[in-house]
Amino acid sequence: MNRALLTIVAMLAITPAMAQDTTDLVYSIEASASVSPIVSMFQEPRYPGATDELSYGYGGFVQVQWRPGRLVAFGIMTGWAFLAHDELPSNPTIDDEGPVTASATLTAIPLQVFVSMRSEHFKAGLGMGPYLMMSQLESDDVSKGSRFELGLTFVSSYVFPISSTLKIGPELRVLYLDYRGILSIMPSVVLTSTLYEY
Amino acid sequence: MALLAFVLSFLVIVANVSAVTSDSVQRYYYEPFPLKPGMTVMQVGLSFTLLPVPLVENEYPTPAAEFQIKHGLSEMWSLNGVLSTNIFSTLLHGGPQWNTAIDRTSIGICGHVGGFYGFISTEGQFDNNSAYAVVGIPMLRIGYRLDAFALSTTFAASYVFVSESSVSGLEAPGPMHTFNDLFCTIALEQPFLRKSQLALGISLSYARTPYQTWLLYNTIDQYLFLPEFFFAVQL
Amino acid sequence: MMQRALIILLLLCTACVSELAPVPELQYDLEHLESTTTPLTEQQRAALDGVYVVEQGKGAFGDTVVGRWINDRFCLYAIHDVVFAELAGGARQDSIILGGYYRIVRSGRGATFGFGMKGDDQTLDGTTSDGERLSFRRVRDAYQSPPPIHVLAHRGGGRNSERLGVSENSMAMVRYASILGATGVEIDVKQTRDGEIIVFHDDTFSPRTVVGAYLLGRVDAFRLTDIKRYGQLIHGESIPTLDEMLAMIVDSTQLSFVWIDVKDAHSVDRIIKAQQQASEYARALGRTLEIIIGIPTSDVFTAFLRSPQANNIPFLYELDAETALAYPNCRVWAPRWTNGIPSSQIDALHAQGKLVFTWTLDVRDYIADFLYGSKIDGILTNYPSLVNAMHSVQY
Repeated sequence: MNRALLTIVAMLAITPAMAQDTTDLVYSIEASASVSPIVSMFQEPRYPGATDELSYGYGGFVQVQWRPGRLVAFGIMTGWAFLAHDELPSNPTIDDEGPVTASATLTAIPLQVFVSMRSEHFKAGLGMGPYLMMSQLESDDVSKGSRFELGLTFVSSYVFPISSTLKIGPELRVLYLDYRGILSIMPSVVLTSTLYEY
Repeated sequence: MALLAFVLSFLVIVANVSAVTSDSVQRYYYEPFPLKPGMTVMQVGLSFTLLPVPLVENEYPTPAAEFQIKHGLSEMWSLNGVLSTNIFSTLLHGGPQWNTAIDRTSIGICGHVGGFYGFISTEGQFDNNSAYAVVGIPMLRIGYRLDAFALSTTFAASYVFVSESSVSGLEAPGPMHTFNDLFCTIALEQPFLRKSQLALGISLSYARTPYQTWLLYNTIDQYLFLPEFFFAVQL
Repeated sequence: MMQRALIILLLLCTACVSELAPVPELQYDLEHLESTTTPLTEQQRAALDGVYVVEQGKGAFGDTVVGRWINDRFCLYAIHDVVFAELAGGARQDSIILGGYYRIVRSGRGATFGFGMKGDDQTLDGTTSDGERLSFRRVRDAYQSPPPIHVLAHRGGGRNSERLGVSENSMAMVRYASILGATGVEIDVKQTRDGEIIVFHDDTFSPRTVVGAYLLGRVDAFRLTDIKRYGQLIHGESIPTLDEMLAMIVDSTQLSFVWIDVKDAHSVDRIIKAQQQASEYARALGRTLEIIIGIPTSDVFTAFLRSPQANNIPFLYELDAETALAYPNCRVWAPRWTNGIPSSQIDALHAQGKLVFTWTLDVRDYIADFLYGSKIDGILTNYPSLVNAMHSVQY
């Protein structure tokens, strides 16, 4: 799991960046929104007998940050990520319509503090804090569970201005839940807007 | 291995950053740039330490309030002090630090001595439980100064001279004459809002008996990993 | 460049969750050794039980060890640290041959080894797989307090479970508890959404205890079928129900005490039913087994008192001694050890024929204070081998 993470880190490092001193003291509030497909790797079987380590999903994220005219910007991040879905035969339950399958889904909602650094077009940041993990099990009944677990979200993006306040570009987002053994990679498109400057 | 990669990356970066004009006005705590005699740097902050799951059985980011002070004694020497507390556990240590700088790179070597004290008394749960330790903490600090910020790495170890716990009058010795912790701290310090300075960083440590968990009476004989995130603002 | 480099450095600060180092796999075919030796007689076994001085092998075992036959296994427990050994064997010609493994629990180290004792010699000699020589000389019988002290293994087996490839509160762990020196176990119980009682400690399912991405959050959010279908304990065992666990304890162990730690007040009636059924089953089989309902909080006690069976069911009370004294069917008072040694209350409870335990005690020096400096009747611990050995070496 850590080797995969380091590989992703190296990939983030390849994105071009120019070191620029932030000598301007313009403060701003910025918001970013992104949507992406998600590929997740699970270190442990998702259920007893599961053999597939990968699962596929989708998600969207929003960040609001305060840039105090210096190197580091601070903000909060949230969103919604559909991480995994599995169907199991619900043996031996059989109703009038035939065998009943049981299905399970796993989603995650980040509620994190987000710290980033930016130079011109390139931005990299780190979200730290809890994810609200939620599961739903359905067969002849529905069970729902949820739990807060700590995670890290690594974000790297490269944006181009499309107007005086809007920028758009590709973003790579990596979710790392070490305790649960989940690594999710989210290549996405991000839209950034400067909401307020002073 | 991550720690080694971390340190090597930092050294490579320090060696490769292009030179720009220096700014000698900023004074930071972690960066060991020599302080002018009589100058004092004080900062307050907060840290969150992720305690080892084998001890606390869950992900607990334990907070602590921190106060750090550095006072310039002479061109090459300063006196440093640190107070970290979350009421149940308090760590206080300090000592002289030798500082030198070559252009933008600075190096500091210090030897802190201090102590730890913990106390809790809750009816029906903990009856006058306390613990203390006397420690020595040698440190090596390496810093690099740019115009916009300073980056520094600190390598430290804590040596426990003596420690003891007490439970309602019963006493038992703790770790003694042994290295208990190894730390690597990475700090980024920069001017922040108006004239204040901000320190932001991560500390990675391996501890045989993490002091924050003293009232769990840990018996696992193994070094466990504790990451800590911290931030501080200069006063 | 600097900013990107800084981000890389921050990203490398990963692997945040600390884990215990894995222990070496210690493969020793105990059954094979048993099959190639002649079973020892009861007298031969009794002659091996006792206190041994360690003449060679102090690095792992310290100066003194205690040897005991537990079922068909010869177990050794050290007193300087948490070290236990499990050996099998028997007679071969005029010698006694034993083989097995030892574990240094707190650091996770261990090795396999073999022993032999010739004729009437009182010395066990052997070598470990690391090449270390071992020589243990029997010096006397082990101490046994009248009545025997209860050594209770926490969560079915204690923190040993993280080193042994066996999960806490699992049936495999409880089956193993005797080998670790326990005379009884403490198990934790929780109620599922459909009213079933499972043996489980935490309020929530988490990666610490279960494997299964979908089994997360509160235990009482899931039905028993969900729990069995979507999750396992971390070492692959099925999460047992209380009925399954108690039946196994009666059938397959020689444990003499079970402390059922009740976590949910609304589960008391169901737990009482399980306790009664298992106690009747044990009596029918002629087993000497006490199954006690543990009351950790006032909420659970209030729910217990509301039960029509409240006056008939023996219980263990963790809070104040006065309440323990006030109820005739309170069998055990069990305060937390961090409250110190309650000497005057111990005497009062003994006067009523009640027992006093303490929990959960793992620090060696404090174990000595309670064992040698008080009249405690039982200790709940993650290190039953250490408590057993420290008790047994008294004169």
